Amino acid sequence: MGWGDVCIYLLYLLLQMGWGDLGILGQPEKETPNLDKMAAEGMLLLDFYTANPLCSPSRAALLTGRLPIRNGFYTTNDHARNGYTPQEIVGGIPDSEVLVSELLSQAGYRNKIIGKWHLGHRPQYLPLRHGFHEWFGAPNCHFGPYDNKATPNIPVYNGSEMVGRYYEDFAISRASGESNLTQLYVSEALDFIDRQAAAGRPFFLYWAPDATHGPLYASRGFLGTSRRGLYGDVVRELDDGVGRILARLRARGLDTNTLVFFTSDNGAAMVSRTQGGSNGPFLCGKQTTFEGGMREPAIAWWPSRIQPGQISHQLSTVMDLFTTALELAGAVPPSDRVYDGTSLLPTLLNGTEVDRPVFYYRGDELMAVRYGLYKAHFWTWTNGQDERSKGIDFCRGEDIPGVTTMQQVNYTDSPLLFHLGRDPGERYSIKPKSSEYKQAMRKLEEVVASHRAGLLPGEPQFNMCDSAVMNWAPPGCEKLGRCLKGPESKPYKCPWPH
Amino acid sequence: MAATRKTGSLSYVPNWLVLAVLFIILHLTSSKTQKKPNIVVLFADDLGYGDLPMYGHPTSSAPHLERMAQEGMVFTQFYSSSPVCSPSRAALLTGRYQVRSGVWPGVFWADSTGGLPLNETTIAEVLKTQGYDTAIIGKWHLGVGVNQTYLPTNHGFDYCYGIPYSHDMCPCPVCFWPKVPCGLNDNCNSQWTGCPVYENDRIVEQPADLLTLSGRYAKQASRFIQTSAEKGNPFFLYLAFQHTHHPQFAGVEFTNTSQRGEFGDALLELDWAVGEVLGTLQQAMLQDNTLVFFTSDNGPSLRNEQRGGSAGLLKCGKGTTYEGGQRVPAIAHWPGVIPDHSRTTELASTLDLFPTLAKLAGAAVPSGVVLDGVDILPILQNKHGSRELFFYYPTSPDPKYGLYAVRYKQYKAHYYTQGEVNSDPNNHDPDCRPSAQLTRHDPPLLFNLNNDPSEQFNLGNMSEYKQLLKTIDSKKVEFEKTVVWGESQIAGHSSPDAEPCYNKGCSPFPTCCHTPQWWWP
Repeated sequence: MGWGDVCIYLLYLLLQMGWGDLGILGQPEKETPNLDKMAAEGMLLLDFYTANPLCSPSRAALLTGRLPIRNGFYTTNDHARNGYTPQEIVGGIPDSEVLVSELLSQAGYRNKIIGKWHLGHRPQYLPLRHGFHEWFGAPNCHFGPYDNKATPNIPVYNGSEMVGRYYEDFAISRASGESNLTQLYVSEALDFIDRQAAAGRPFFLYWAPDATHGPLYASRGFLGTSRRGLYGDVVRELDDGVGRILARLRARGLDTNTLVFFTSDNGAAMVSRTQGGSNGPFLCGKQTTFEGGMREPAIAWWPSRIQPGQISHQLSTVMDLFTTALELAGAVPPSDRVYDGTSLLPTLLNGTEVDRPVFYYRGDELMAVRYGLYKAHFWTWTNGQDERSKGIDFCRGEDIPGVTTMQQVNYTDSPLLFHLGRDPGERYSIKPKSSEYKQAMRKLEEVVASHRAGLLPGEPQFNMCDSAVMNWAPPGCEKLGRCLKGPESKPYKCPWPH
Repeated sequence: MAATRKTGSLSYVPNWLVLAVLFIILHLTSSKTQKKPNIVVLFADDLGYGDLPMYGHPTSSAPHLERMAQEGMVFTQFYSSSPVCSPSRAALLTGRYQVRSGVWPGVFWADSTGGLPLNETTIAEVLKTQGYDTAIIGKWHLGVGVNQTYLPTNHGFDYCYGIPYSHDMCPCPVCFWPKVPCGLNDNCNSQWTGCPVYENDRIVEQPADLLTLSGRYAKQASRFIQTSAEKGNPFFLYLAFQHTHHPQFAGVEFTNTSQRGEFGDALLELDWAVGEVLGTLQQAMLQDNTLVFFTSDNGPSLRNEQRGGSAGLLKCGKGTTYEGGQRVPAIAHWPGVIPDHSRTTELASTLDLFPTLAKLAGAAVPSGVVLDGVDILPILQNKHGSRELFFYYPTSPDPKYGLYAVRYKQYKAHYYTQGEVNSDPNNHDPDCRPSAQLTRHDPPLLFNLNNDPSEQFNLGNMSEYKQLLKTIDSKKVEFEKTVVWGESQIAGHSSPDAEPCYNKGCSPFPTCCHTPQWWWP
C-alpha cells in the first residue's frame, strides 16, 4: 500500500455545474460559499476537464479511468454524435471494464454511490454489480412524470432493489420545482460517513446528486432563496450539502485522512436558458467540444495534506480521479489495457505541473486536442440550423465564423488553433502561416499520432435502443407489486441528433 | 449621608489633577477626530469585468489584488459612468454624469484644447478643505489645454506625476523589454508628440519610457504616502494606471511572465504596483486608517483580439452600453472596517465615490450642483445600499437621443443599442461588432440581470413587464429632466498648439519636443 498503514478515505462530489457557477470563479451572485471555502482550504484546479461533453460517457470515464472511445460509451450510428443512457438504451457498462469501485472493494474499501448512476439501467449494469456495496439513487436522469404506459417512471434504488419511482414515491413538483431529494442525498451521505467512522473502515463515497439537471428541483427551505431563480436555489442547496458533508468529516475526525474532490460531469447547458448554469468566459456549453462543454470547475480538499489556497494549472481530467484513488488505496489496475488517467497526487501534494494532452471526443470522433496552452480543433460542430430555429442553441449569443459551425466541418488538413492562455474563449484562431502555428501544430500532431497508434476502440454501447428494455420491471418491483408490463422487444438503431 | 460622602471624596481630588485628566481626555478625543481616514483610489484602464482571477479569468494572475479581495470586499454590480475613458474619469472626480460637466462626446485627444471645466468641483478639492494632501499619479485624461489650464494641479491636486492621456495618443515604438515593438494593431497616433510625463505642470520626460513607467508610478505613489505620513496629514492618492489599455506594455520584470501573454504581463505589472502601494501603507502602519478602492474606468477593449480584455460572462465591452461596457471589477480594502472575504451584490458606481469619500473626510459636498452619486459606506459595512437606478450614456452622448439604457433594480431596459469600434469586426457576438448600427428599441429590450447577466433573453415584448417598463420610463424621464447638458469641451476643440511639447514652439515639430535625456532608439 502506497500509504502504508494510513487508510485514506475518498469522497468524490460530482455536481452538475458550469465552470462559471462558482462564486470563486466569477458568478456574480456568489451562491457557493461552501465550495468557495473548500477551494480556499484546498486546491483549485483551473484546467480540469471531463472526458465527454455529456453525462453518461463522462461518468463512465471517471469510474473506469478510460476514455469513452475505449470503454464503449459512444455510438457509431452516425459520425461524431453524443450518446448517453436514456431508458431505451440496450447497452451499459460492460463487465470487461474494471471500475474504480471494484478495485477499491478488493483493497478493503466500503463503496457507496448516492444519486445518479447513468452507466446503464438494465440489471447487469447496476452499481452493485460493479463494485459498489451501497446505492441510493436512480439509474437515469429524473425526466418525467411519465404515464407508465408508453414510458415507465424512473425507479429509485436502495441497494440492489428499487424502492419506488420518481414522481410517484419520490415527489418532484414540476409546477413549483419542489423536491426533498437533495436532502435525502445529503442525509444518506452523512449517515454513511458516520457508519464508516464507527466501523473504522476505509470508504469511497461517490456523491452524484442531479438537481441542477433539468427538470430542476430544490427543497422547500431553499426554494425562492436565490435572486437567479430556481437554478440558483438548487446551487445553494447543493453547496449547503457540501458544507454539511465536509463538516461531518471534521466532526468525525476524518477530514485529515480524506481526499475530497469536487467536479462536474459536463459544461452548463445553454439550452436551459435562464434556468441553467454559466460557463464563465468559455465558448459554448454542454454537448460541444469547445471549452464551455468540457472545462469543469474542480477542487481538491484534504486538510493537512493539500496546502490551503493553492491554484493549479495542471491539465487534468476526470479519468485522473480513477488513478489517484487507486494510488491512495494501494490498488493496482489490470495491466492488460490502456488507461487515460494519471495520478494527481504529485500535483495535489507538491504542486507539481507536467505537460500532458487532453483529448476532446464527441462520439466516435476526436474533435480536438489540447497540449500546453494550445488547442487544435480537427472538427467543429455546435448544432444544426433546424434546431436553432426551434430555439435549441448550444452556443447562444456566440457566432464565430468558421468556429461555431452549424454543420460538422472537417479541419483535419489545417486544424483551427487557439492559444488558451491569451484567448481562453477560443475566439481568435492563430494564422496557419505563422511560425507559432507551425511549431505548436507539430507537437499537437505528434501527440495525436501517438494517441491514435495505441487506440483500440471498445464495443460501442450506444448503438441499439429498444422500448422493451425500459424500467418496466426493475429488480425489487415484485416485492412492491410495482412491476409494469413493457412492449415486445423491437430493437432499433438509436437516433442521436447531437 | 451618601451624598455628603460623595461630595467629600470629590473635593478630595486636587484641582490640578482634575485639570490634567480633562486636558488629556480632550487631547485624545481631538486627535482622534483629526485622524481622518486616508483614501487611495486605484484606477485601472480598460480592465474588464472578467479580467481578474477572482472575477473568473482562467489564466490571469494578480496576487496582490487577490490579497486585497481576500482581506476586503468584492463588488459584483459596480458600474463606471461611461463606457470610455475621459467621461468616466470626469464623473469619478466630480460625482456627476459627464454630460453635466461637458466631458462629451468621446474622449480628449493629445491636441484637445478643452478639459474638465475649472468650475467643476473635484473630490480632490473637497478633500483639501479638510486638510488632505492630494496627489494624482498616472493617467489624467481630463485635458491639458494650450496653457496647461486643465492639468490636475488646477483641479485640487497638490502633486501630479504621469501621462495626461492614453499612451496610444502618441507614437509607441517599444512596449516590452528589451525592445519589443508594440503591436501593429495598436493604432498609436504617430502624428502627435511623444507621450509626455508631467511632474506638476512641467514635462520631465518626453517621450515616456513605457518600460520603466510603472516603476516610477509606484515609487512616486509610495513617496507621496510616506511624506504625508511623516507630516501626519491625511492624504488622497489617486493612482490611475496606464495599464491595461492598449498598447499593452511591461518592463524587464514582467515581460513574458504570464500565461496570458501581453495582456497578462501588463496586468502583472499593474498588480505589482498595487502591491507596492499596499506594502507602503503597511510599513507606515496606515492600513487600518486607509480606504483603498480599486476599480476600472470602463469595460475591456475587444478590438485587439488575443491582446484584448475580457468582460467574462457579460455582453460586449468598452464603448457599448451593454453590461460589458460599464460593469467593472471593484475591490474595497480597509482592515478593521470592511470585514475580510466580503462579497456584495449591491448596486454601486464610480459616481458614488465622490459623496462617500467626502463623508469619510467629514467634508460638505458642494451646494448648487446636481450630484449623481449616493453614499456607499453602508455597503462597505455589509448593509444594503441605497442605489436602485443606474443610467447608461453611450461613448458619444447626443442630446437628441439622451440615455441609451436604464437599470432599475435587477432590470435593465435598452432604449438604444449600438456596436463599437472597440470590438473586433468578427466579434463572437454580432451585437458588439462595429457593424451593429445604432438601433432604437420600442418597446425597449428588457433583461433581468440577476438570472440573465449576459443579456440574452429579452422580456420587453412580454405583457407582464409592461407595467415595469412604464415605471422605468418614468424614472428615465424624471432623471433626464434634471440633466442640463454642459457645453461640450471636446467637440471642435483641437489645435496642434495644445499638444504637450517640452520645447514649445520648436521645430521640426513634433520630434523636437523630446526632452534631452530621451531614450528613443
